[in-house]
Amino acid sequence: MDQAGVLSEANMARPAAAGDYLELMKPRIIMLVVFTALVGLVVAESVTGVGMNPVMAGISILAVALGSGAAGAINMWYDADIDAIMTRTATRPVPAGTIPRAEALTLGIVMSAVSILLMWLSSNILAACLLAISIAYYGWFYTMLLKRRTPQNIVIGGAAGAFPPVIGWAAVTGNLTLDAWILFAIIFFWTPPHFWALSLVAHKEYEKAGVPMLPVTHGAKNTRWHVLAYTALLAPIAISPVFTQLGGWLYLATSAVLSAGFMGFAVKLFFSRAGEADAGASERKLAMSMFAFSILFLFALFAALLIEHGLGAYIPVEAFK
Amino acid sequence: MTVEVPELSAAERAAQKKRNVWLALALLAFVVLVGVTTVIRIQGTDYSKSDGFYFDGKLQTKSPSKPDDSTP
Repeated sequence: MDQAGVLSEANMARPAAAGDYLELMKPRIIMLVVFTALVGLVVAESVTGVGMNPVMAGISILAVALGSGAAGAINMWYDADIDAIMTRTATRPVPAGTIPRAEALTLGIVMSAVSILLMWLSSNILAACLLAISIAYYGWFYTMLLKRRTPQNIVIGGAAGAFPPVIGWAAVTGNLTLDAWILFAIIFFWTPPHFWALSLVAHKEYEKAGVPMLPVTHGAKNTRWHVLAYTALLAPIAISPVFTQLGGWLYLATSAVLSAGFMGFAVKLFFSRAGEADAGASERKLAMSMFAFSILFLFALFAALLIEHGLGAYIPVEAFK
Repeated sequence: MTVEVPELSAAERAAQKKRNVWLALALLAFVVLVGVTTVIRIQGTDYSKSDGFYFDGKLQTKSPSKPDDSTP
């Protein structure tokens, strides 16, 4: 089914409610985006000593949330045709026919403009530009150019999700330092093993929709190898904030334990048959467990930074001073 | 030219009304947020700097040249 087909076949099953518009903005992604942006903001204040008016900080975080929602709406507008094919996404508001495609696009564009303007008014031009870039990166570069063309879509597209802590940092300081880019790198290198673990379970869906995810184009074994390689790359990056004094003892302990756990999952997954045609329920469970653990991994890492810098629990690791 | 307006069912009309209320609230929130950011920025503006976010109130104009008394 092409995109025009989705538009013409939209059966407007029931009138759209406020919840449908909220779903259009991908609220679960918004929560993660807001959380990482908040950590970037709080950590930047603590590390640089630059203060930000709390009301302006709140509006900046709201702008990030709106920007994320805007990118989600644009993504749902463009991907309506493939969303309708996949079971996991078929009930989304556009393929389900509750929100017309044009409305999703309009909402995405208007919210993009509003979020960028609010970010500029509440912080500075750098943060506003970064927000604009991240919306364009996800809504256009990833969704329209990469997703249907390359199995590396997740790797390159991962940068879109890595922007929020950098935006939070820029909103406070008006510039970007190595620490901000370390936070970016953590999310960037976390994204591939996170999504590929899920795609090992949902690869038939992607195949049906014609999305060239790695398990579809290169097979399950190759994907498990990629998951292992990227998890191995992520481990030193996840520890690196300790070397720049961004993370203290709490962060060191959290990242060391969770990196070891993440690596354990990746090794176990590598030697499993997850994603293969003959994979059983235990292999699927393993891949989904790794997917769930990856969410806990990122949340805990950023939560450790938030506790250290937001609640005054930062104790520097003297050995790296 | 006449434009045909589709008949809406009671449920559709109620949903449309709800959407309109949400839109109005969103617009109001936007206006309030722009107002709040503007007030906070004005409070924190250093008017002695000419490169500030808001106009410093001083026009950079050339002072008119004095008439030369020596000329006949």
